[in-house]
Amino acid sequence: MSTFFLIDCNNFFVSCERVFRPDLVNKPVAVLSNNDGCIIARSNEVKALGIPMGAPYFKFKKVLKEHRVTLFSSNFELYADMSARIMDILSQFSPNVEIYSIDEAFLEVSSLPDPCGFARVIHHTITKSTSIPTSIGIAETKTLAKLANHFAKEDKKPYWHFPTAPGEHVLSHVPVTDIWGIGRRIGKRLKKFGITNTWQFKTAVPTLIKQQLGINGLKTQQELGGIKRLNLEDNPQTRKGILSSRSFGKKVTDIHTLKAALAANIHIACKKLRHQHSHTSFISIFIRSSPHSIRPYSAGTFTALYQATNCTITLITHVHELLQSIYKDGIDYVKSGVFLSHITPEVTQQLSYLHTETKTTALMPYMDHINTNIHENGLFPAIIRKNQETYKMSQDKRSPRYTTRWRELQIIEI
Amino acid sequence: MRVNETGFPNPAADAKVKGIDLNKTLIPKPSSTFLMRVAGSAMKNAGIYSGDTLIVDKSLVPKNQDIVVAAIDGEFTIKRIQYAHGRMMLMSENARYRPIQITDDQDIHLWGVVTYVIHRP
Repeated sequence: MSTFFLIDCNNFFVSCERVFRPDLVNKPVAVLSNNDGCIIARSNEVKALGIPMGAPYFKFKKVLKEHRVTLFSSNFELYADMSARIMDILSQFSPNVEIYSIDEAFLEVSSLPDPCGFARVIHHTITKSTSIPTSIGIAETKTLAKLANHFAKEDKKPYWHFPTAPGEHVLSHVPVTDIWGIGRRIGKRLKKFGITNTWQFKTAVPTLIKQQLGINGLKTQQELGGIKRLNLEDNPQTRKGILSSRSFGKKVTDIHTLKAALAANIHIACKKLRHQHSHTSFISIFIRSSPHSIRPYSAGTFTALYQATNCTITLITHVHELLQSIYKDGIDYVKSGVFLSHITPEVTQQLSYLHTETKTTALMPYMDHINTNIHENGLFPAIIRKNQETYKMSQDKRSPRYTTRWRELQIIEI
Repeated sequence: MRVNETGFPNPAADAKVKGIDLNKTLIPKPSSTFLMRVAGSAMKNAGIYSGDTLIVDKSLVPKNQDIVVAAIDGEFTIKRIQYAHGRMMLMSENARYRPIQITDDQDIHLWGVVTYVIHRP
């Protein structure tokens, strides 16, 4: 009999900022998204002010100032490094770890006589080693572990254990949208059938669930009953593609700067693609102005590729061709993005008769090697530099990269 | 021992080991180890100078005489721990600063233990 643990960090980005700012513990703190656009992390004090997740910064600027909320621009290098440390600590507790997101992981352990004691040690070790507070959900299935984690968070407890599948007295108070994999859209659909809480979902006729939510919905239903249908690495949703988009620091009007911005989007997306040893054969791009602009404009287009690729140069060429068909003059653009889909593994390539290993494709492994091992961003398509100060995002409230930059270490004054 | 073309075995071949890896030696627990920089000379007498880099391990439990990074009233500082007569004190190496006794009603957190100091002469 195995036990699943879902460990997740509380207010992760905020907690990371507090590690090096002990003066901000128990003070209101929030973290802003790229370009300081939206609030993407809130401390409990900020949540108590009623400021919702994802709220636009400008809308709540006054409230934040009144309550002296300390604001940070996202410091993704710091968050990624702290995340890696926590995942490393977890792997010391069990080889069966699934990293689910930047701040969540599942652990599967078999024949554990004292799961709560185990959770206590995990919780203590992470807190002591990194100062990051966590919540741990413990149950016999992943779906129940996720729910238990939710209970731990709500009740401000370090962990929560469902030794057996919870019954009606527990589940009837849980809204159906609190179930892992069920969001607002599906929740609305289920409401039409009179299913609003988790008990109703669990006891609903399986054929209805299968009809409405497919096989994954059925698995979720069974998991709520304590039947293990998801293994480690099985998840209700699968990644469908790679998106890379950025809002610009300043408004962009000319096509050349847009080409540079899209090239930067591709550079980042292709790095991820090559890292997971995949190719794409369908790409789409979009460009848009602010919806509040005097001349609002938003456009996108796509193309399929004869030959799947992950070569940055090749894709930049395609993207620039696509841009020609949607670029409009006289618009203040604020954002661009690319979406790579129809992802296939590198190995199983149906080589088209047009296939050529181009010089640029061969260059990619060298570029990645230099950028990873020798000098970050050492090598990149030159076009990215064009007017980079314009489209590069502003991040002036970002904290130092305390754990990844030699020159930005925390300074102790004595 | 393996024999090469000349017919003589290489006595050093068996002793071939990797070079010293400072990361492994000085940072055995990377997930709980952080680097910090010192500004100021209050800990000169402990051999910690302004501009030095500290290797700090948060997972260690401070022992008597350990140098620690502490957060006092929300501010980072560097002190030496002294356990004596059931009391835990934070000592400064500088006579100007009085020892601080750690009690529950104070805002004092022992952030981590300084394991090594990197000094550039």
